[in-house]
Amino acid sequence: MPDQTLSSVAPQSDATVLEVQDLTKTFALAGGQRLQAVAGISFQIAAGETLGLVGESGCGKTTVGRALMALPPPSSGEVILEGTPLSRLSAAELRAIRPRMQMVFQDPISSLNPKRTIADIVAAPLVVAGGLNRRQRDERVREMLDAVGLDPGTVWDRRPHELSGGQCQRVSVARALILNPRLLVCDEPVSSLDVSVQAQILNLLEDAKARFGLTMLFIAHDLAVVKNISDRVAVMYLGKICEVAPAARLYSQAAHPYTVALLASVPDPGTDFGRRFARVIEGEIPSPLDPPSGCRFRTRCPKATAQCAVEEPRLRPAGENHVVACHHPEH
Amino acid sequence: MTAGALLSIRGLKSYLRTPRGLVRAVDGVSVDLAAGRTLGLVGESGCGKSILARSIMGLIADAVLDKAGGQILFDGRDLRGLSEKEMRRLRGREIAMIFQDPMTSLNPVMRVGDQIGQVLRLHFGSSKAEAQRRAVELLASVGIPSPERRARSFPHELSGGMRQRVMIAIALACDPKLLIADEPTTALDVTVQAQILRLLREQREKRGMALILITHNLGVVAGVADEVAVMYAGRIVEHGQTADLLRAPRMPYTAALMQSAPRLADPPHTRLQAIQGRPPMLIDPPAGCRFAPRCTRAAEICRREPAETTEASGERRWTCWRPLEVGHA
Amino acid sequence: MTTQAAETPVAAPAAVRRSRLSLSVSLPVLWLGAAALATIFSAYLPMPDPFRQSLLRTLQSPSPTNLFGTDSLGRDVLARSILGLRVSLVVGLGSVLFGFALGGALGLVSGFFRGRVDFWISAAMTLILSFPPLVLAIAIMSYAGPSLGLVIFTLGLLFVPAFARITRANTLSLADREFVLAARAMGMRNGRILLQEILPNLVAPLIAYGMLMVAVAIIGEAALSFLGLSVPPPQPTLGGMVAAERANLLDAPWAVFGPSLFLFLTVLSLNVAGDQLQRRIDQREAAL
Repeated sequence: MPDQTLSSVAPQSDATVLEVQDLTKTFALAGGQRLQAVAGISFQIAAGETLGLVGESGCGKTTVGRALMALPPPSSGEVILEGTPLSRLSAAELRAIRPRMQMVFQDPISSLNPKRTIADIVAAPLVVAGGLNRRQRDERVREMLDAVGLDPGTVWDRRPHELSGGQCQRVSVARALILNPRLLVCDEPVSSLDVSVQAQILNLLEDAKARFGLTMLFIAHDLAVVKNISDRVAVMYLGKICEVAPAARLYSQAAHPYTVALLASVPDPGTDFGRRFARVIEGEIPSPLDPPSGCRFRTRCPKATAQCAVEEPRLRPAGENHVVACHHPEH
Repeated sequence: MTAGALLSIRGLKSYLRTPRGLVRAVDGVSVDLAAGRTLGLVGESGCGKSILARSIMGLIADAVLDKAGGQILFDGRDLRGLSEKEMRRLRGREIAMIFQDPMTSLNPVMRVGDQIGQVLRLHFGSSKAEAQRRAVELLASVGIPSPERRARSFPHELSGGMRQRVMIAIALACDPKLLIADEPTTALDVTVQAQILRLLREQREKRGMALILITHNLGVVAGVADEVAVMYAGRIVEHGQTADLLRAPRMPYTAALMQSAPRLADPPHTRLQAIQGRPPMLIDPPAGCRFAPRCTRAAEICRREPAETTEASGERRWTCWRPLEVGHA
Repeated sequence: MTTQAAETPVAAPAAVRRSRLSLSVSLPVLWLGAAALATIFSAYLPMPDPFRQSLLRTLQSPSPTNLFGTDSLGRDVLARSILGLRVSLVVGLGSVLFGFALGGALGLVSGFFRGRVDFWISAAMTLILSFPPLVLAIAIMSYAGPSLGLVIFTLGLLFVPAFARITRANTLSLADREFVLAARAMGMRNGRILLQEILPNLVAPLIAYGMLMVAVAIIGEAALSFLGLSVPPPQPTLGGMVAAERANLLDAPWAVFGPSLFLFLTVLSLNVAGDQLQRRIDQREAAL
């Protein structure tokens, strides 16, 4: 579309950096079964915005992150990065556009090659992209290590196992940012870190976002972490988005019973003494091999009615910038 | 204090022999726990909390463990002095333990009903039929739907939450006096975590057993524990009633731990108070207070001499040269 | 004072372990090094000519001139054992390198690309594995006639499936690691990912496995030469020497003892050293 091309040429402050349209991802399992991990989701992220994607394990949030990075590509649907639909690109064109979206993974150790030095790891994207000589690359790597709070002199020749988990995650961030991406996808970047280190990395991501003008998709299961870093939050359950709202609003005026239950489950060290666990929901997330009919949350939902079993709720407005997919929302 | 305690740990030192040297994983820990109470043991990874738990259970191989000192008094007996045979009789029967990963703690090729029954037959010599009947009862009591059918399942046929319930059923099979739960909900989703915590709490109340809940999550202890001990680098640095301690931490590490975790109550983009650096290597720990290198309040004495423990009213203790003042008047 | 007292037991266990470990590494390495040097420079060693027959001096017991005695044709057993060991080492190393190169490449490709490539490569490997190895070797050797190159090729071929499988398994797990995803995400091509990201992580485990396989190859060569299907005479081979002198075992055990001892020490050293290497790799992996 012409207007999309225009907006990518001249990005405005409210330009859309990433648009995901009806994305699905199906895996073929041994024995001929098909598992639909993501069942048609759509969202947009505006320039400079951080969208949090939150949900429990098995909800498909990691699959979304990888599918939109084409690692591997989605089964259907479209991912549009700054006006360019990725599904129409050839392999070479896709490789060329990859530097514009980068990813930080969950496991700080596993995401760095144990045989390579930190300097090599951070320089790798520059080598792949080409165009710089050795000295220019080293200079960039030094700048980036500095920017993520690592002393280039100390870590330069080290290997990942000689660094702590937090330091490894800083290296991952440096590698992701060295080509100046527009979009940074973070998949559970702090969930394997200790609380005190987790705070360092969250602060680092906030700083990097401001400094490099990043747009972020932040995928996590921890609601408090997501609230801290996000402008807007999307809640996923069993391959679908059930609610999207600005962060502050979602946490104070959740409309979907699942969001309410999630929030009620988070233990808080300041207020929860002698907790009675009154609003704990029963059961566990059903198998995506055999999802419930109608609303996927109805098997655990305290408000479920007959309608929920037959009719799948669509996302509809529940306030400013707030959508919810529920027949019986809280408001 | 010691008189009424079910478990009384005195100056416990558990060192680990590793290729790189002796790791002082637990280095002088004293703590009491009365029957029927819940102690939350909080700390970051590597602080020694799991080694402390395994020391109580006698689960560390002699080739690795250096019993460098201290006592573990359980019901009046010093567990450190017991033979492996005597410990075996105690384990599972009087002290039971559940772990973080329920998949690796269960035998993958044995039906869960048989795994529960096995404990009963081992400790009580129950008949096979009797053990099976009790196993189904136990599965029902930990909230597993259709327990007769589930007793015939293998672990891989159950979800993570269900497996942890099975582990709890095994742990409760012999009505232990003390249950040690080592990060029991860390691998679980938040809604399932709430279910498991509720279950642990209900069972503790019903059976009057004592519970040690080991976790890195202050929110988890807030909801379940009567008292909290905070561990750092092999030592307990602060101990008190849960609400007292969390509302007004005196040791700067406890306060920093609370401030570094994002909270739901805070608005988005609240700047977090990260703790700089990382915990010390326990092969060669710092001479003074072990938190001093990362502490914003550290003074010269903190770096030079190990801090003394101050005892206050209400069973409140902290190990710090420069404790935080109590906020309220 | 008190700190010193507390630290004394700290150092002890680690130091003890290190010395025990180093002994089990240094002895095998010492033997293998000596064996390699002796076989390379055998012509310069102050020893009797291994090919010179002397019908007056047959089956002599060990003496200062013939340290391992002489065989039924009066040739020096020690000198012939060293030459035989040369064949063993060349065949052992050569066949493993061949199996390593071909099997490693196939395993890398099938583990990384999976799908149809993996199916066909795995099928071919299964086919090789379903031949009884010694029968296959005997068949090839008797058909084409024994020669050094053919022994190396035949034994190497038998190693291809093992190397392919171990490489494939390691590649499969490495390809799922997030650093490979990160390499893809930055637009790295597959060839570069294979060579730069995956291959360096495969080398250490394959070398440890390769050392154990050299020992297997040496035993295999000895078995073939015992059957007369290895390098043809007059070139001595350890298995051939044992076969030739086994009739004199009661009168002149040294003629069999010499080559057997060389075979035994070499295979033992390779196994112990390979084992230690494997253990160190495991330790390092566990530390990660």
